[in-house]
Amino acid sequence: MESIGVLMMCPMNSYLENELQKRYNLHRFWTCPEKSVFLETHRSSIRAIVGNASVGADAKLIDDLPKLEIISSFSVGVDKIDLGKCKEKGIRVTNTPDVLTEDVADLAIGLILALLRRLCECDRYVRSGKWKYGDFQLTTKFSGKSVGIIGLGRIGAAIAKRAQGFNCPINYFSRTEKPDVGYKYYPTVVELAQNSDILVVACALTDETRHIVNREVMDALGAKGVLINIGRGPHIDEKEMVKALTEGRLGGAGLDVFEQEPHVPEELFGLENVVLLPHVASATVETRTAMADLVMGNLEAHFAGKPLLTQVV
Amino acid sequence: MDFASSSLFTADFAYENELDLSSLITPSTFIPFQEPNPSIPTIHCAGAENDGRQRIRETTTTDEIITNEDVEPKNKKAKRREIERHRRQEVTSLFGNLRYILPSQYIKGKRSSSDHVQEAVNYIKDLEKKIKEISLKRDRIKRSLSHSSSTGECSIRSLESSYCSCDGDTHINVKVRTCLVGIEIVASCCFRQESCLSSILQLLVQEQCLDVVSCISSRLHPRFIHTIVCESKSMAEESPLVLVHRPPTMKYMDEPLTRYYRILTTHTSSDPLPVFLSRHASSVRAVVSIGRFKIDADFLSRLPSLQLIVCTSVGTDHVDLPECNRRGIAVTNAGGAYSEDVADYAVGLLISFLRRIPAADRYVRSGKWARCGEFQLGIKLSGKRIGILGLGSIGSLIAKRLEPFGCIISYNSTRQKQSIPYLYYPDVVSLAANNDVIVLCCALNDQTRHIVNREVMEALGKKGIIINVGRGGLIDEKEMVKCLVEGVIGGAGLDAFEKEPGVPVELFGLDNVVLSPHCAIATPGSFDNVVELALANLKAFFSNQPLISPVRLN
Repeated sequence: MESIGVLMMCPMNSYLENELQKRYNLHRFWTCPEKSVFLETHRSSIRAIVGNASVGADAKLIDDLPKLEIISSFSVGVDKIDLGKCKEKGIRVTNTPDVLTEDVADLAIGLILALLRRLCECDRYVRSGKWKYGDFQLTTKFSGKSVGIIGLGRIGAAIAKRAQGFNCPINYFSRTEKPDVGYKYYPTVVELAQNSDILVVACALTDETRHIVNREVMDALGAKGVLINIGRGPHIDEKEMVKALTEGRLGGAGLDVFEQEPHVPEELFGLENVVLLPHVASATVETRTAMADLVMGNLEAHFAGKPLLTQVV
Repeated sequence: MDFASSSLFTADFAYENELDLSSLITPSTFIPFQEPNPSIPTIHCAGAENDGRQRIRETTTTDEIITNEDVEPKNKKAKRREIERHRRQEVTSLFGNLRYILPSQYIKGKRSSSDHVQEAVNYIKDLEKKIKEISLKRDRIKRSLSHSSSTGECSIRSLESSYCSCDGDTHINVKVRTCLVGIEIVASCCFRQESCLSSILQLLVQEQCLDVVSCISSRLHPRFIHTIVCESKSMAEESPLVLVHRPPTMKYMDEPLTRYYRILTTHTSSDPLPVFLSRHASSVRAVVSIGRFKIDADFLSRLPSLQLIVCTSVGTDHVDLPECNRRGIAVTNAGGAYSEDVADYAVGLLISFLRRIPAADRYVRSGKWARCGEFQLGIKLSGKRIGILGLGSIGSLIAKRLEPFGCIISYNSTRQKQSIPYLYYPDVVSLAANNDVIVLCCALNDQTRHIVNREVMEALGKKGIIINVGRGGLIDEKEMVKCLVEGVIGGAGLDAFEKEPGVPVELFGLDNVVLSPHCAIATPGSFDNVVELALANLKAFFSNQPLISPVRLN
């Protein structure tokens, strides 16, 4: 097969890397010392980009690669890709929905439990030997707490289903009300926050949803409410959130994503009422393999002239 | 002082000021009961006016009679009239006094003379009853003040012998006497003995039929004089005595219990436990057991009247159940009070283990994410096979929570349960062999001790996971540590250990464990539930109703 140039934007999965290496002429962007020189040299051979949640393809990169036909993202969120530019130039974009839905929903519940029941603290407490000197403090019950979900898509619905097993009443905010779901709809995020004990961000990142959780929402959630983010860092006004947490206006937060990953506001490191994770919502061996297969499958379909598996644009 | 004419004079006033009322009822005012006679004017007592005085309206028909009679008996009639008028005046003053003296509830709605006299009699009888009650209370107070108190928490005698650095008289003097509202205690102590007053007040507060009304302390150098007045509450019968066997830090049952019972705590006495029990707890019919303090045959032998043990835990392995069975002592536990919280916690431990949440959190906080790149991958939960050991109230709630995660549930239990949609395995080894995770939530007893042994762990396999929210004794801990270190099993999430709070140190350095300090139940809601349940069990017991959460003893 003629060597199709595929540009991988950052290290994301060694299995995917190996497979891509086998099938295509794989260029590892992060290893190039002079990126602009590299792009000059290979502009006519690169026909596909593989990006992920951290690094995608902006307008400049797309312009620099005139032979680009497809961008296959190793993630479900495509906010790091200039979709407008792709539409304009007829470049196709695919992502990895469904295969990671369960893991992300599992982690959302895991974050809630770890936060409310202080599981990380408990583990530290025992390992430090402190248990010999006294019992751990009381923690907060999860069962029965009201859960408010921003975005009732695949992931949001999966979170709702799991939370119901804990007898939690489910509220949600969405662009449009969904009549058959049986959960309570709120037309604004502030009202959702006012009426929920736990607020979960599970929508896509677009211009409309940037900083959808702002100061007003966090104040409505309040000192007894907790915030869970398994969406994208920019969903939350991070500066405001740090202030709200350190000042005690917000009860707690379980965060898997941040505005400037992998940089996390250091003020959070000393707080007991937060759980901080390094963007691992889809990070299981099984799921990452399935995601890699989906990336491979989309690329294969494209270059064979077959219909794409999971097309976004 | 003419009481009757003073508008300040009321029955309550008299009561409060210990006025001797007996002089107001004089022999001359005693009126023998008479049949109503039309020739004798009847006296109608109108209701009390605002100034408390009574108006008397009288009618007389004597004038009519007089005109028709001769003059001869005129003097006799005049004399009789005089006597009548005198009598009327006496009656007036009697009723005036009665209406002033009797408390309002006795004179309300009463108009006739005989009613008033009857109410006066009732009042005297009530007072006599009250005096009797109060003297009984006073005697009891006197007894408990002069001996060491029933709670062992403080005794005046020990205060008297406590060290005091001043040269003066360190003796504590206590006098108890009755007063209008109840009893009055006058205690004098050396001015340095600050705990004297609080000790007395503590004793009084525990006395269920007394309310402390006032407490005045005055300094008479070098001594303090504390005057405490207590009002007696009438109580139908003395509330039962309940023994509370708990560690000093676990106080949450004390206040709720004292609302209905008198309590005796085992940890506050300086006597060794067996001595304390024999001395103070021979009449105790119920024990509340909090924490892990053992209730063994020796403990039980010192409580001859014991009929009920209320445990605030779900586990009853710290109680000698066979001995209770032999003695006919019922045992209740926390039933389902904690089940939701324990089930939540078990799921939390499992997700935390599989997705490496505590380790990932440490990774971020240490700054490694920025420096070292991506964290290692975790393990998917959805689709895992979960084997639950013990499908009781906790086990079934765990199953209910894990089903929406796409997990496949199976179980092993003492008995296979009908109409349960989960697969049943007849023994623990086959449960372990056919599952990715085993969750331990069964009771610890002789049959289940070390039920998870080497054989079970080998069957579970090197990807297998143990989640323990039961008791540490369910697992052969030594073997488990070896299996974890050697990779015989994949990992564990542990909330309980064999020798809490001791945890095998080998576990501290392992990546494939999540450790927890036995806090699966520890939310405020759980404690509220268990308090409610314990009180309900005690109430049922003392009113001969069926117990709410009895434990099977055999």
